[in-house]
Amino acid sequence: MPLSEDRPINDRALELLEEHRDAIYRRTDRMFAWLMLFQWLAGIVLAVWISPYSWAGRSFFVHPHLWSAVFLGGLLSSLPIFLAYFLPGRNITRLTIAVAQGLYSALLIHLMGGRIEAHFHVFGSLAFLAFYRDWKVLSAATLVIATDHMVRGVFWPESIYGISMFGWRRSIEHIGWVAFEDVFLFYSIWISCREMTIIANRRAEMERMQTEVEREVTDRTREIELQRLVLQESHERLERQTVELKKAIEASEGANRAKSAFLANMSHEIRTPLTAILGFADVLLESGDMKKAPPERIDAIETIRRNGSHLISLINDVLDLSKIEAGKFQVENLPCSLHRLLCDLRHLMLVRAEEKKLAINIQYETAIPDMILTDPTRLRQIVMNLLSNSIKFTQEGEINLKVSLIGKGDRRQIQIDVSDTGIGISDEMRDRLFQPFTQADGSMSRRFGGTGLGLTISRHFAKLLGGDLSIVDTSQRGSTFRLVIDPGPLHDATFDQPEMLEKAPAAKPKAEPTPKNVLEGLRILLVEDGPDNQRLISFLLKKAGAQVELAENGEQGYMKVHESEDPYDIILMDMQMPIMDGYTATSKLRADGYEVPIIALTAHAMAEDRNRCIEAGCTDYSTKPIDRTKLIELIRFHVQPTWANP
Amino acid sequence: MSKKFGYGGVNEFITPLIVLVWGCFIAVGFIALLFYHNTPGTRSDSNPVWQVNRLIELDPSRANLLVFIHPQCPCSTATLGELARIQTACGSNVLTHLILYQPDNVKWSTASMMAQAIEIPNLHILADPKGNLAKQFGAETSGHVMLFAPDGHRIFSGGITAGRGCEGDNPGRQAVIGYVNQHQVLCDKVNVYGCPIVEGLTAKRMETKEPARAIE
Repeated sequence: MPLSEDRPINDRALELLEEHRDAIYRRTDRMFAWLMLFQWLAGIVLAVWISPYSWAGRSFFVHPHLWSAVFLGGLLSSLPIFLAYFLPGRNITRLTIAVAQGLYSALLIHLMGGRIEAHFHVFGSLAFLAFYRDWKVLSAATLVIATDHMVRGVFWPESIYGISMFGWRRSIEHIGWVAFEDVFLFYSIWISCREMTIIANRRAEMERMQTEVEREVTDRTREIELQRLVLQESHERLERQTVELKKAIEASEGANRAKSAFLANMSHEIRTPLTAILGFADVLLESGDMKKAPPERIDAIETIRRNGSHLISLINDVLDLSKIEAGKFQVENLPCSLHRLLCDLRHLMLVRAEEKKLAINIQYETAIPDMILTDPTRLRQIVMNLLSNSIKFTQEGEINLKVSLIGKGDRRQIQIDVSDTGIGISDEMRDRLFQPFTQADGSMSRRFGGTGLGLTISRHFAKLLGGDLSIVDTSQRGSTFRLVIDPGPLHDATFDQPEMLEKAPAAKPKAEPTPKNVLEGLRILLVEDGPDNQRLISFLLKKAGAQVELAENGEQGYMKVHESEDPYDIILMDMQMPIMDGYTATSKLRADGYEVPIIALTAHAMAEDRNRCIEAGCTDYSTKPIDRTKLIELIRFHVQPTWANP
Repeated sequence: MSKKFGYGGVNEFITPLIVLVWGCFIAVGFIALLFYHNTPGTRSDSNPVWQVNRLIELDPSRANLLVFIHPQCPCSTATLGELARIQTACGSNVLTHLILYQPDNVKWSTASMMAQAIEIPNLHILADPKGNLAKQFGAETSGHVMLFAPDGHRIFSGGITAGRGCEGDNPGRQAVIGYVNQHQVLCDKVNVYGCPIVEGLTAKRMETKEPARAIE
């Protein structure tokens, strides 16, 4: 019975010992069965060889020794063989074998005439019997041998010793030699039994350990299976959540796309009327003798222009934030002079600062690289926003820009601290300051205006430029914003520490009104669906000396191009129109091999809109509201090669 | 298989019984064997003096030893072995004749025995074709030894082996050596163990009711 945890280990050890003993007994029984058979045959052969016949003169008979070898030997062998075959491992089998083996020694010695050499069979028999590792067996055989020697030694010494002399001493001597061998055999048996006991104990211990290990493995397997089920359930739950998340993301992306589309449409729909508003405001300001105009009227027109510009700025901010949040905003890496950029900005902002009698100082703490690799447009936007804020929230004092190069090796960065002496920001508002549509105080927007997008967008831009935007100081004496950007690789850059205050470059002369007849002789096809914009743009172009023809949609424009006898020098194509939009019309014209420059005019202000226009075949792109000067310069640029040298 | 001959119930009683019966048979067998072993051959001690014959003359200068052998008797080997020890001990103090029964018209293989006999020093070997010499001296059993004094008196009669085919110390050998070397008569008769030399003598002895065993 295998060892269980509830069973004493000693019981199992005893059981294993008995099993081992039984195996040895059975094995040795089989060995002696064969030995008995061999001895029987050997005895017969011996008798045939030594004393086959008994003689009487010339007559002979089978010698009694031969009969003894056959029958007495057979009798001696038969029962042990029988018992070894039918009752192996039994006590009586072993004892019978032991007795038979002892008697076989007696028979063989007798058959050999009591020759002393025949006594070696005794020692061999005892050694073989020791295979049983059973002292009782050895004792039984020894007892038989001793009795035989003693009895025959006394009564028939010649049959066992070959002499007819007194047998006591010789018998005792023979028995003594047998006992001498027995001492070693008993010792050997004792050692063997002890080793068997040790082996049984170890096997029992191993079985116990195996049982424990199996139990442990079973427990662990159960635990693992349990954990696997838990994991499987978690996995399934996770998959369900992933599916739900995907749906949510798809929904979110759908909502985002809808938002982007909405923003784009809103931008378009707001820019389109603003084109007319700002454009005609400019026309009003330039039409007639403005010196004779009442100041209230001029002020009103300026107000229209200013608010229109603010509205454009607001739309631009909203579009920027939308692109940033959608992760679609990409910055460029262009070489630019930081010093020049800051100087330009200072001069640009100085006009507003001087209105509040504020000074703008630039201070270079360390040498800075002459050229850095960044997106100058966004960097300009950030610094301008910071300066704009500082000017907005500072009533008196000054605004300082401290520029330095920080860090070492490849981790060097440009740090720009913009400090002012304004109203400062409370500590509790610091964390909320960079959140969109948030200002330090709800009253701020009422007092100072603004949408609260500037800092949010600036921080995003700063991160896109490899740095960050943070607040360093927000005491009531003013605020300090710190901008850090990555200047790009500086291995080959030269470093310089410019003057503390760069002399302001000569102010650009105020833009002169567009000179007349700059587009003299140009035939321009304006494809525009909005009547207000038709009137505004055609007015501006005609004022510049161009001949303008109108088409209300892409289809008309396409037809006019093909029907016109005189070719157009350039086409201004609104991209979003009814019946046929500008994209389709341009594509069709390009498909027909029409190579005249086509400039896209659209209120869609996003970068992908520009790309879409270019892909449709447009030569260039201009956003609404129309900047009159830029538009004329753009037209002149694209028609210059053919127009200047007809 | 052991289940077929199970060791429970009745078998627990039967098996020891079988062993006991087996032991009894064994004991009987051994007793019979010992009985045979210790049964001496027949003899005749009716001639206490040298018998004059044509084949052997008495040497009056020393002791005369006659050894009668049946060449096919298994016990002859042991007798020759003991005779070799006697001859070694006595040397030329004794005139020894080995008398082999050699009936006519019978071709026995005696090569191994003759080879053993030739190796024995001072041994005269002669054949007794019809067993007349044995009959004349009264030697009826193979291995019978007779020692005569120089004057023809028989000093010793009997075997020089302790049992059938048993070599080893025995009174016959000691008696022969004792007389030849030291002129001491330790015993004059011992049993002879061996096969009958001439067939029919035993039956005749039984009829005359002469003692078959020596009085030791």
